[in-house]
Amino acid sequence: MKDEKKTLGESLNRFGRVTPKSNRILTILLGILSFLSVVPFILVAIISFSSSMSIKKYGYSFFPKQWSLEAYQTVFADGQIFKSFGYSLVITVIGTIIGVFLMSTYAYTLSRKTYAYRGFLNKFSVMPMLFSGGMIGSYIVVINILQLRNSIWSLILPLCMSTFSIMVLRTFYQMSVPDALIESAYIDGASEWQIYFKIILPLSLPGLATIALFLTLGYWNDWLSALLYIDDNKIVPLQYLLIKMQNNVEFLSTNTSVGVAQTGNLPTETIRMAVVVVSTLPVLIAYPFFQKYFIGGLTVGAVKE
Amino acid sequence: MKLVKKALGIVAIGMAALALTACGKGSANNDSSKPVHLTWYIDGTPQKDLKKVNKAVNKYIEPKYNVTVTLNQIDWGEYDQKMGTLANSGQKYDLAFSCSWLQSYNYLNNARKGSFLDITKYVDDSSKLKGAINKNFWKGATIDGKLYGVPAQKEISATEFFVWNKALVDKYNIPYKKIQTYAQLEPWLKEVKEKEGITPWFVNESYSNPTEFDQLAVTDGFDLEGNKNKVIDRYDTKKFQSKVKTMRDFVKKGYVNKDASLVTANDVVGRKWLVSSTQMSPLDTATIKDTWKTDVVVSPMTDSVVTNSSATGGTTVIGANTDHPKEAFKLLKAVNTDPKLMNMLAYGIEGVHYKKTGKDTIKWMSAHERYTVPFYMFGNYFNLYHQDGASADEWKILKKYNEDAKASPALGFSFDTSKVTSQIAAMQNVDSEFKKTLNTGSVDPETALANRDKKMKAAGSEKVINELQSQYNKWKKSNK
Amino acid sequence: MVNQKNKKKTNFRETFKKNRPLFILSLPGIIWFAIFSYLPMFAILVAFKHFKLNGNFIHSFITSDWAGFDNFKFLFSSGDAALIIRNTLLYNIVFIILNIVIPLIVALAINEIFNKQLSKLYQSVLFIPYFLSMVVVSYVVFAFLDPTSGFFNAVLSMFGHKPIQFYMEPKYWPFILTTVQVWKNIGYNMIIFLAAICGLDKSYYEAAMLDGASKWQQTKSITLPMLTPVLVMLLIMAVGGIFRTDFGLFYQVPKNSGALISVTQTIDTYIYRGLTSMGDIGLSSAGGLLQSVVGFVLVVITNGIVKKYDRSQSLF
Repeated sequence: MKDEKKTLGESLNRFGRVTPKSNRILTILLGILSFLSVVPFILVAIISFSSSMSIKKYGYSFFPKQWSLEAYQTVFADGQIFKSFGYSLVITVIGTIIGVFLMSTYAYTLSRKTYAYRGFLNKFSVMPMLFSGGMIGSYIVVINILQLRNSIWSLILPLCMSTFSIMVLRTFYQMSVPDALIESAYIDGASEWQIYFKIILPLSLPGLATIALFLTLGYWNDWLSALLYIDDNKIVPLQYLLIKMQNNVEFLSTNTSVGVAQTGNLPTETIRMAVVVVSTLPVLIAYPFFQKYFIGGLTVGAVKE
Repeated sequence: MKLVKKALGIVAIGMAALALTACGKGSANNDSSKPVHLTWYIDGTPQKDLKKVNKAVNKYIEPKYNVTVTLNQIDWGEYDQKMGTLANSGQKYDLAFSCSWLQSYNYLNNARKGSFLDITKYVDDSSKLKGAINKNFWKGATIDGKLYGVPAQKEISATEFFVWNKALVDKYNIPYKKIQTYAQLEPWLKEVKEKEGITPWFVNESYSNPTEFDQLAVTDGFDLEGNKNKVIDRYDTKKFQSKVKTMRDFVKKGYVNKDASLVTANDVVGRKWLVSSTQMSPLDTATIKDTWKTDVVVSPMTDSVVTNSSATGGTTVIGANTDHPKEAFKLLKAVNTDPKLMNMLAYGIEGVHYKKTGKDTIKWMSAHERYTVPFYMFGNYFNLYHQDGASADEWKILKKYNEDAKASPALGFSFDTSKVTSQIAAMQNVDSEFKKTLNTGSVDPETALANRDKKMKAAGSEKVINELQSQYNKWKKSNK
Repeated sequence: MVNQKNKKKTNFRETFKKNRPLFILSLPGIIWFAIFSYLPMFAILVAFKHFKLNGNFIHSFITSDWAGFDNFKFLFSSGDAALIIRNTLLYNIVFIILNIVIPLIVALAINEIFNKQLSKLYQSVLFIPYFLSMVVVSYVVFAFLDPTSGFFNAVLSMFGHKPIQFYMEPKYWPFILTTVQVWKNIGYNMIIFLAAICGLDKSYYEAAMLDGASKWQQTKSITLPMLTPVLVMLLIMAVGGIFRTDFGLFYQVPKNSGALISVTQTIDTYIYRGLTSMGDIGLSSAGGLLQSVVGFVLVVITNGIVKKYDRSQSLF
């Protein structure tokens, strides 16, 4: 079986892929695009490795007059960054697991045409995308009703579902899980849970990986929840640490009348950029973990083992 | 429709749940022998030794005032948003810092909205507190005849100062103390530009060509150099117009940096400059020197003016939903009248953060950097010890400065904007369209002023001016 | 009557019994939406109140005066209302189209190139901009466009051109903002397309290959038609946000420059500039509610049109 497929795939290979000339053109165009995407980040990284005095004097440059590790020394000297990293990691992992579970089950039921409440639940999940109670509404629910002030759950629970991801996932289920498959399983006497776990989940891995990635990004980038729900800097996730620095700089440089009392302690530009680099790298490193579910689509499809 | 009904049902359940949690709270602890615990929110970079100082403060105030407190320090960049949400959602807290320059947690708006406790009676009953603070502070903090906070006694006026680079002032022998107008300034800009080859005047995006004016609604208010009882747009005053025209001229001549509308105050570091400006107190020279990394001398650009907004530059309020109004006020009063407490809050612990070198002079110790807070988060400056290097009569100087400052005719009057909110929202937008470019000389002032005027009128500025004028007249009559 | 009621009841019970397993699967999600989305929604009603604090929030809400539609007036009182709505809609329409078309093309191309290592690298790299906050992006943009030392003007002056005062010239900004927006979000939608392509049924392609269809033909007649559900879904979702804009993009990236307001003012920046100094939650809720209602109406319309053509592809 395996062999047969392989030979079939190989013989069809010249149809299964673009011409070498198109390949070259596409590779180059994508290369340019990728270059444009990465240039600003490289600039940010270079700034983080420059001496803050040379930034003050000459502005940003791809070729700084003076390299320096001072920003990273400051960033790592304080144990805060490691603590923040730990919190971000815990929040992201727990949140992503809960979120994937909640959304995949919910979206799965939406994809089942025989489900009687499907229509209602569809609308039920679209409304929150359009109407939201805003910051005050959420604040009262999290703080007064759920009493989650200063709890790590206040940073996890409010973000674990999103209409967008549910709809993405629902569309995936509809595209990749044939109704006939479910019906035949049903006839074979499989329960809904068995169908969901044994048939649906394995078939929809790319979709799950997509929303898992979105959840990861959402949690990793979130800082507003921490700003609102955490007092006394008890839990400072990585992004929040960065936003704190940026907001402080922004605030103090536009409110000069505040009194100059504390501007001396402001993080320099190089330190802020170093935190950008430090907070972005973990996700970039984690990315390939999700990537293996998206890549290798069509062309290798025929020869995939 | 069905969906809407269902959604409404859920909302109703939610509201019921909310009401339940809200009612479930027990009444306040009435046992008077036990110390009452208070929470206090202050603004600023959270200090490493805050907990330590907090502990020492409690040790001192518990036997003396029978209260304890938790100080919550929230970072500059998030204080406004966090406290605004806290207030709008009706949370309980006891003491907090508010002031005129915050947005969501602004003193005037939140007092009007009901976020703060009315403390008029408490203050009236306490002659010690009332007498300790200059009456203009109290006037400025009064809204519709009521007091909602205790202003920190610091510099009473928000005056913009010329900040001069001392090295160049000495080199060219510039009589900086006599320079107030742009005309007086020009020859020196010219000379220094020619001889040093630098752009002499560093202007940043927040520069506003200060004139003696009390702005009450967007840029509308009272001109203290003209008819003091007539509401006018500051941008329509002759003095302001001539200033922006000169500013444009200076930009063209290369006296002022071309990128002024894009740079912030801190960008001054690393540049070569002769003069710049900032809002400050006459005693702040040393701090400016620290942050700008240059030795400086300063002189005020205008006479000092007291407005509501400048008098409430740092105010401590009591949350409207507090369970312990009396105790909160007791602590607030103590902070402003008990020198030992004020010094502890502002400077830290004696023998740890500072050591005493005389009766009322101190010297910083190395732990000082673990606890530096703006003193106006707490209260009365005049109870503070003198830091090393500060003049021993600094509070006398400040006191005199505050007494000499000209009071705006509208001090104590506050504009109720509820009838003209739409117009003000539109005017704020027009203002932000022209503010930076016009003030920094980045555009031709003639056309920009004309355009701005046209747009302001379209936004409804006349209605706002009339409303302001009529409210002011009424207030004036009843306050004769 | 009673009979009918009973019948309805048994019907309901029967339906429920039949659907119970699936209902249990969707229950955790339902609870989540009820608590975290629907419960906070009561705060929307503040838009119709002159909100004054008086005790806790609910009590304050009940005791505040009703305002009718007063709080909405400020949105239309500006002489620039037409300009603001034009900006918001035009930018969003352009963004919606480009954010679907460009990521789709990129996803298809990434899938085709021979070198898989390179393909993986491209994918990761295209995602990087998504991670830079708008504040950081605004620094980077400034580094390029700064009139005195910006890279762009440095290049211009190398060729003997006069430097361009970008932050004073509105005409460049529709282009700059669109570029930044697309650049920043390219990776996000691309992932959805990549995953969708990956999940497509391979047998169609095998059949097509047997027929000797070229790659382009396969893309045109298999991949794209099979991806339409995703395209339609993304479109409907995007339409719901047509009255909302990324505040950071329109406020921070142009450095809040007044000279650019004619091309950078959107509903969100107007609300921000107009309201921050007032701190009135009634007014700001009104702004948000208006954006929601417009989005809602457009989503219903778009969804209705889609439903007419293909029921299975509609969102609800």
